[in-house]
Amino acid sequence: MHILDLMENALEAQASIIFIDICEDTYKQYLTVTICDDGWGMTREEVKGVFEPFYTTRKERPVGLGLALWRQAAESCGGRVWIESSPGKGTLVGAKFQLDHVDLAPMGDLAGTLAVFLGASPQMDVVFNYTVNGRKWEFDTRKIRRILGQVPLGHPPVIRWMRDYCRENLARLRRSEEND
Amino acid sequence: MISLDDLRRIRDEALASIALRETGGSVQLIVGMGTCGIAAGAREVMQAVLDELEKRRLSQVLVSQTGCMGLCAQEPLVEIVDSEGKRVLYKKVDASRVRQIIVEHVVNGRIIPEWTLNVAGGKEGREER
Repeated sequence: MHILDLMENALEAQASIIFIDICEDTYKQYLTVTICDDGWGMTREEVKGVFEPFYTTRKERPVGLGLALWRQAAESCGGRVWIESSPGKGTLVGAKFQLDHVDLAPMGDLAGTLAVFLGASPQMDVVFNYTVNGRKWEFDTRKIRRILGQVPLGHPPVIRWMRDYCRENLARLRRSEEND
Repeated sequence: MISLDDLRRIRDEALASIALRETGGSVQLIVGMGTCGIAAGAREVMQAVLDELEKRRLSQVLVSQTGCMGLCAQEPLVEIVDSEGKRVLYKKVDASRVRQIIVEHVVNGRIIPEWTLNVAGGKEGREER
């Protein structure tokens, strides 16, 4: 849910590509998630306020809860959040969570989240990296587009394929780790 | 196992059918996906939309998303814009409702009045509820 929310932020910042890195270390028991976009970024003043509830860069309505909730999620399970942003260059949001903490929310259906996002915004590119104890799996919509040629990424069977493909590979990544 | 070859097959099938769907008017379906929308279940709604459109092969429907519309209490919100520009906003949509909206409104052209929040544009003009 948070990941989708942060991806929506990138979308609103007119980003064209989002890099999502998720790194799990089951020995040291931590999970880091970083989401980086090439949108219009924020000024230093704006960055200072983003983790405050009800802060928003939007002009129309002064409500913004996404990053405040994200911080709460990380800090409630022994983690922390960070953000780097500069105008015109984009934004990086990161968080570290403690894997064995009782309050850690389940990761949820990442593959479904990605598919939902791409189904709704097929113009966006997403580079998704998932690493479990050094084993890496990458999903890059730019490569998918190359295969597709003139067939749009938002074509429903393509969306379904992406969801199933991600789901299967993520499950395999987790399984191979458990078998070691 | 799902492979890249499956993707290539999907591509070839799509290219084969592309000539068949050079349609004129297209319908737009917009899901509100701000923080409030997502919290209220917009992700599940969007999943149902994509699933239903694929099942019914409704490739002329353009799906998109928008941020918070300022009506957080009515989320998840789904807006249908028909080929004449008439906009119908549905409130408190869930996965099963959005499937019915697709069948009734998008396919059969019948608005489901009990679930609408606002109907604007087109011939009827503006009607607040």
